[in-house]
This record gives sequence, C-alpha cells and structure tokens, in this order.
Amino acid sequence: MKFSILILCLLLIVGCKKETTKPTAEIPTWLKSGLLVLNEGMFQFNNAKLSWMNNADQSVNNDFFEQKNNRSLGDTGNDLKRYGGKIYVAVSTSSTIEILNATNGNSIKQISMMNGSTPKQPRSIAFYGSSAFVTCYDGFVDVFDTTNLTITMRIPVGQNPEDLVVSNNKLYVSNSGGLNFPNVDSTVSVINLNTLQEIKRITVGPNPGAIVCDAEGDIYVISRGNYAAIPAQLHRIETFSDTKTHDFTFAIQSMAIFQDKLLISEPNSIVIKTFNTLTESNNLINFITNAPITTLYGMYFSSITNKVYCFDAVNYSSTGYVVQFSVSGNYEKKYHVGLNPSKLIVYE
Amino acid sequence: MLKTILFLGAFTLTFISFSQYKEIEEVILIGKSVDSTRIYRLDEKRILAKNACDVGDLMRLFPGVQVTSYGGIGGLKTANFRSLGAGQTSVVFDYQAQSTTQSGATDLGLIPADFISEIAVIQQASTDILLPIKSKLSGTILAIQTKHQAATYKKNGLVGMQTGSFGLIEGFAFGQKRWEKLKISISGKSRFYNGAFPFTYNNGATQVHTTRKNNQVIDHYGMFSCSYTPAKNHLLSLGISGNSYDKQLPGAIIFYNEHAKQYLSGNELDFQLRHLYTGKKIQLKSQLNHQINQLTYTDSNYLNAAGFLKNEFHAQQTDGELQLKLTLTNKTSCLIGSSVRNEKLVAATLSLLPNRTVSESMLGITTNYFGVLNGQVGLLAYTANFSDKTAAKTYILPSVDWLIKRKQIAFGVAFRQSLRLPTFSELYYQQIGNNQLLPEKGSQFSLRMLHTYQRKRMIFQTIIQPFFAHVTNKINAIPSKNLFIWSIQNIGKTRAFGTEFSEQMNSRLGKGIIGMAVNYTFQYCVDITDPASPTYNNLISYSPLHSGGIELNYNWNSWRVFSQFNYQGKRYALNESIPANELAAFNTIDIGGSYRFEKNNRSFNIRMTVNNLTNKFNSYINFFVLPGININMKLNYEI
Repeated sequence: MKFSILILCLLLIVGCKKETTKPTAEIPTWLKSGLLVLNEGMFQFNNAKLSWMNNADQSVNNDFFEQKNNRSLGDTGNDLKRYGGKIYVAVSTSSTIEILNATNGNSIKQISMMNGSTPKQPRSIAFYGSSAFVTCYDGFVDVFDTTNLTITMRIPVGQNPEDLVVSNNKLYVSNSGGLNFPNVDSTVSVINLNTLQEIKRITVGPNPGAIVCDAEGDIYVISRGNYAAIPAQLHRIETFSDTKTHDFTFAIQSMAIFQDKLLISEPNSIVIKTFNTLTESNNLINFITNAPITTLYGMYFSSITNKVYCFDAVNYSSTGYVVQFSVSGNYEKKYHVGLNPSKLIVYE
Repeated sequence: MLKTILFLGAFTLTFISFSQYKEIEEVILIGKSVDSTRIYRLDEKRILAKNACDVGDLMRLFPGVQVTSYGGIGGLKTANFRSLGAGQTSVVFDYQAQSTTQSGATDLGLIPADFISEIAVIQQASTDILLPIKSKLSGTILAIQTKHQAATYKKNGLVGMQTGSFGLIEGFAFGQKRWEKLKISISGKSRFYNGAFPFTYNNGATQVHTTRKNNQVIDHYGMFSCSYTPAKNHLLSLGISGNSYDKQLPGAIIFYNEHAKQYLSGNELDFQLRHLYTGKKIQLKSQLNHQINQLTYTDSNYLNAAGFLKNEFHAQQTDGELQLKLTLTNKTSCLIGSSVRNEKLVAATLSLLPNRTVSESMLGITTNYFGVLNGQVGLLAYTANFSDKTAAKTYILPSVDWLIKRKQIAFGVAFRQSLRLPTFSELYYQQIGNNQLLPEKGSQFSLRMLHTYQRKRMIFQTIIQPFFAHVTNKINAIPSKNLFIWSIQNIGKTRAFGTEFSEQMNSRLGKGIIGMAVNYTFQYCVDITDPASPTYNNLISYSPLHSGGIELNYNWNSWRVFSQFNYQGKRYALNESIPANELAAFNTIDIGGSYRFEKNNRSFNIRMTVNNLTNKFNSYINFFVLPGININMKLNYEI
C-alpha cells in the first residue's frame, strides 16, 4: 500500500507543470492610432474575436470585444466595416449584427438576425446613404436604417448571397449558392438603390464570392468554381449596361482594391501580384514575392496609412498574423492576432 | 480537488457509520490471479451499481481511456485509449467486432448497460479464439459481453424500468432458458429521454442560464441469441441484434443562436452465426457476420434551395473468419486464423460508391514456460474499388506481450503495432473526401507492474502501466482552400507518453465490506507533425494531462452504497495550447445506493443514484454541455 501511495504521489508531482501566462496589453478607452482586426474564429467554437493593435507601443490585445462588453462576439465573424460613427460586425453562425460605437468600441446594439426560428446567417455589409445592406445566406439582402438600427425591408436575391458592393447607385450582390453544392449559383444580382428592388441577374461563373468596385465604378467578381476541375476566375461587370464584359484567364484566389489596381493572390500561393484596373491587362505584376506568411487568407490596402496588410491564417486552427507591407511591397512587421484574421479597420 | 476528495471520503465514511448493523454475508476478494489478456475489467456487480444509461458512461472507470462525450444521454460517445484515437479501438460485442465502415468509431452511447455481464480492456489476446481477428489487430480491444453469453442458469429472467431527471423513462427485459442441448436468450429495451435540462455557461464575463433544446431521444434495442450443441464438442451459436433510434441533435452551444434543428435517425441490424469445435488439443472456430446500418441526418434550418438537408447512408459489412487453435504442450498453444471482410456504403453525398474488401490473417502463440508470453504477427491486406480504380495495400503487424509473476508481483512488457483504415466518409465524402488516404499507423510500448497485497481482512491490488504511443499518417480534416472548404489528409503525427495507475482495495469493515477503486492517468500527448508549425509539441486537442476517479463503496447484507468522484484535467479545444483554447478542469461526484430483496430465489432490486451531486456544469467537448445534478432510479426484478 505504501508503495502504491508513493507511486501515486510521484506521478502527481511529475505531472504538475508550472505554467506562465503572457501579460495582455490594455485596451484604450478611446480608439485612435491603431488597427481593429476581426478574427473569424472557427465554426462551433464561439471564438470570433476583435484584436486591437496599438501603434504607439505595438501591443496587441486579442480580447478587445470581450473586455469592452463583458461577453463574446460569437461564432464565425464574417465582416467588419466602419460607417460614420459606428462599426458593424456580421457574425455569421451566431446570426447577429454587432453595432459598436466607433470611438470607443462599446456595443450600441446587437441585432439578432433570425427569420422566425431560422438563422439568416449574415455574411457581408455595405452602405449607401442612411442604409446598411447585409447579405443573408437565406437568399435575401436585409436593409438597415443606420439611424434607428432596425431592419426596414428584405430584398430577395439569388442563393446564399455572399458579398456585395455599391456602384453607380446600384448594389451588386454575388450569389454563391454554396449550400447547394454541386448545383451552385452563378449570378450577380443588381439592386436599384432608389427602388430597393432587384433589377437584373448577371451570370458570371459558378460560385461567385468576393466582389469589389474600382475607381472607375467597374465591378470585379471572383467565381470560385468547384475547388477542383473548375478553377476560380475573375470577371468584370460594366455598371452602365450591367453586363459581364470580360472573363480574365489568370489564376486567382482572392483580391483587394489597391489604389487603381487590384491585389491578386493565386491559389495555394503566398505570392501577391497586381492587376491594373485601368489597362486591364492579363499580365500581372509581381508585388510581394517573399512574404513571411504561411497561409494567405486575405489582403487589405489602407489609404490612411498607405500600407498593405495581409492576413495569415497559418493552418486555420492556430492563431494567425496581420503582416504589414509598405506600398512598394516591402515587408515591415507582423502582429500576432487571433484565429483566422480576415478584416481590419484602420484608426488614425 | 483535494477538498473535494476529503469531502467525498468524509461523506462516504459518515454514510457507512450509520449503516453497520447488518450482518456480513461474504467477503469479496479481487482476483489474485493475473489475467494476461484483460488489463482492466468491470464485472457485473460494478456495472449494475453504477446505474449507467449506456456503455459510454462506464468507460470513464478505466484508466487510460478518454471518453469523448458529445452531450449526455443520446450524445455520441467514443472511447480513445492512450490518445491513439477512437478509430484504433475495436469494440467487440459478444465476440462480434462492431462495424466502423462509415464513421470509424463505435458510438458507445447506443449500447445499453442493462444486459452486460463484463467489460474488459484487452490489449493482447493472441490465442483467444473467440475474439475476432480484426479486433486482435487493432490498437485496443474493448470487449463487451452480455448476459446472453455469460449466463449458465437453466432459467433466467430480468424485468426492469428506470426513470430519471429530464424525462428519462426506460423499460427493459431479459429472458433465458436452457435445455439439455439448447439455450435461447432474448432481451430488449426501449428508452425515451426528453433531454430539456437546465444548464449554465459563460459567455465572456457573462453567465448565461438556459435550457437545452432539441435534445429528445427515443431508441429501441433488441437481441435474440440461441446456442445449440448438436454433438459432443460442437457448439452452434446464432445471434441477431438490432436497434432503432431517433435523436434530436442540439449540437454545440452557439452564442446568441440556440436554434439548431438537426435530427439523426438510424437502424442497425447484426447477424452472427458461429460454430465452435473444442477438442482435446484442437479448437476450431468458424464465424459469419453481417451488419446493416442505415443512417438519416436532417437539418431543417439548412439554407439551401430545398430549405432543408437530408442525407441518407446505407452501410453493409459482411465478414467471415476461421480460427484454429492448437494446444502444442500443456504450456504452449498457437493459433492461426484468417478473415475476409467486405464493406459497402451507399449515399448520395459520396462522390463514388465505395466497396472495400479486407483480408486479415494472423499467427499467434502463447507460452507459459517463463512467465506468460503472447505473441502474434498479423497480415492485413485490403483492396478498395472506386470508379475505375483499384487500390491495394498490405501491412504486417507484429505485437508481443510478456508477463512474469513472482509471488505477489507481476511485471510485464508489451509492444504492439496497429492500423486504422480510413473510413468511407474520409475517403469519399463529397468535396472533402480523399481517396488517396493511407491507414493510420499506431505503435504502443508499455510496461506493466501489478502488486497484490493481502493482510488480515484487507486486500490491495495495484496496477501501474507506463506507456509510450506513437501515431503516424494520422488522418485529419483540415481547411484547404479556405475556412469552409476542408479536405482530409494523412498529415498528422502524435507522440504520447504517460502512466496509468489503478488501485483496488477491499476490506471487511464492521459488518460489511468496504471497497475502493482509484484510477489515474497521466498522459502527455503532443503533435509532432511539423516542427515549423505553431502547434508543434503542443498538447493535442481534448487530451488532458491528468484524469481519473475514485470510487468508494460499502456493502452489507442487502444494502450497497457508493460514491464516485471523476476528474478531467485542463485540456485544449484545439491543438494550440494557448489560454484562448483552454477548457477548465472539472470534476463530478455521483452517489448512489441499492437495496436487494430476495425471496424464493427471486430478487427485487431498487437502485437510486444522484449524478453530478455538486451541480457543476461542464463539457468534455467544448460547448457540448452535460446536465447538472440529476437523479436516476431503477427497479429490477430477477427470476
């Protein structure tokens, strides 16, 4: 018996490991000179987070939302935008829109995005006048009044609308149909922002996703194919006639607006190239070729800081990085943030 | 933790001190002999005393076993031994290996605990002719034996019912009759569980009190078996068992969105036909099994064009095997055997209709010349057909176990290699399946020390098993294109070392018998896939460093009381060991008692348990919550 107790004690002692915890940077009362980053988190982990990166001391706090509001952001943060004095966060699996005060990050309102007992799963947000537009995976674009923060109407579009952008007084919505795989959608809905009605659907390619608007008002949309034999492809939509005018032949994974260019990343690559939206040449120019990035998960250019920010998801289940580059594509620094960083807002 | 243990001890002793007026009937001694195959076992008395709803609840009593429980009653429960992964554990139910064609692991939550006479963890059983070859080549065998196999009475019967918190109602019956050459057994159980239990979880610094929704379970289980002795030395056995279930699936708690509307229904049917010849020096077993599983998953909130998702799967497994055991001398025997298994799965969500044929052969030997030496060499070959392609692979799997005993101490050493074939879901599931997957390879090395100590009215038995386990080609689902597009790859490598500790004690105390069982597992299981990865050398998800339990019981006359303390150490929900992924350690305390009344060889038994006495809200898997304090009461009438 003594022998057994001795062995048990020995095991407990050996098994006990002293742990150290890194100090967490403090969050400011008022937000200035920093970056607010949305970390998507992982499905069913309730770990979507906002990170605050302070320019002054380069510190990072990955629990910004929790510390400000004493609760979590929710499950799978999908979009982060600032409009006027408010920040809007679309939290997809939790089916909420979080609205924060842009000056201090405190919650103003959480809007539950439910249609009866069916979660609408909000994806992306865009703004026009006093309205916010939210793509909902149940096949609608919800219209918010940005003053009283209520939903004023629902506009039916295609299947599983993903992204949206405003151009030429119209709203362009990419209908992915991703939940109908392999019978995905392949259209972009055009909504007249005066009548708030869908006026056209433009066929682009299977599984449309990211959609942006260049300085000339042209729309660029990526159709993501089937992730196998049908590759992702970039398409151009001309917004006066609302027609697809070009299918580009280069390989593409994701894109971001960069001055009068698009930043283009290729599938399974960390090389970033530029596409000139003025000349629209198929010949892409190398921009970042040697980035300290494991898995490129997104890009963002800020005209405020004149920097390019890349999101590194590492292996999608480990905490990621925001990697900063100069406007000429030179690496400057990286910040260790949360799980799957994907969007950011720059504060002067 | 220490406070809880002291409280538990004090509570139990107080209970005992008020109960010492009964006469002692018998002293139950734990086994003095060393079983070289069953490294841990639970007998019928301990199983019955727990009032467990299913086998998954009983598995936490074993050292080295991590039970992955996705919720309470009705939730998926799988057993993972020494961090090898649930797919490396072969569940054998009355000598039939359970099919894992589709999901790769047996759901222990579907196996009722009411008719079970023994559960054992077996690591090496080279010349045990009744165990299937498939299982003998797996990482670990979890052998479940029901009353159908074990009972030897001329006539035997059991009728019972159980009721409990959150709308639990179940009824069960078992009957058995033996004639000179024939034995027939039949058992059945039906269960209804509302599952609307209250619970609390932390959302940041905010505590949320709510009630579990969409958690109802209805299931039915039945088994018929018959054995016939047509001639001396020959035994023919037939077994037919099946179950049917409808479960609501509440899923993980999703903050601000508790609207899951998912359902799972299934039907399973198993046939088994076995012939066993037992001669003086020869034993010959031939066995044929056929298993059919039908599974339907629906999600009525799925946002596709149809407005719902419905996936149906139909799996079939047919296998036959032949094993011959020769007794070479009075100390040495050998076994040679071969099996062939065909697996099929039909589902609209699979990119192809897979069909796989696996042949497994083995040569085993057991000799008692110097200690007990069990050795075997297995040969596993499989051919998988899909579309116009055929893949074929062959593997050799050696393992050895040597145990020597000197007086009250036994010492053993074991080495084992095993394979886990990729499941059909991993191979062919649309978008994410990968038909190039190779089997997972597991290796285990363990030492075993047993010490039995007897003094006056006490007996102690200590088992200590340090182990090292290594898995390569680990099959993991990883996001490939983006967070929503995953694929399954052979990318993982894990390394684990640790120690299992088990202490059992029985002693006469007052007019009764007190028993104690302590189990403790220390394991350090880390990801060693890629030195450049941030998760390199981090603990793998849901693998606590410390886990264990203490069981105390006291028996006198017709009364029995017990308390059970369980502890799960801190663990991480993802492979990166950072505070954001940390799940706090938790412990639960269950207490219970039973009274047995006998008259005219018939007994009436009433049991009551209070589970999670301290009402702590916890979960094995992040956000798959388990109920707080709950009560079960069971009545049995045995004839």
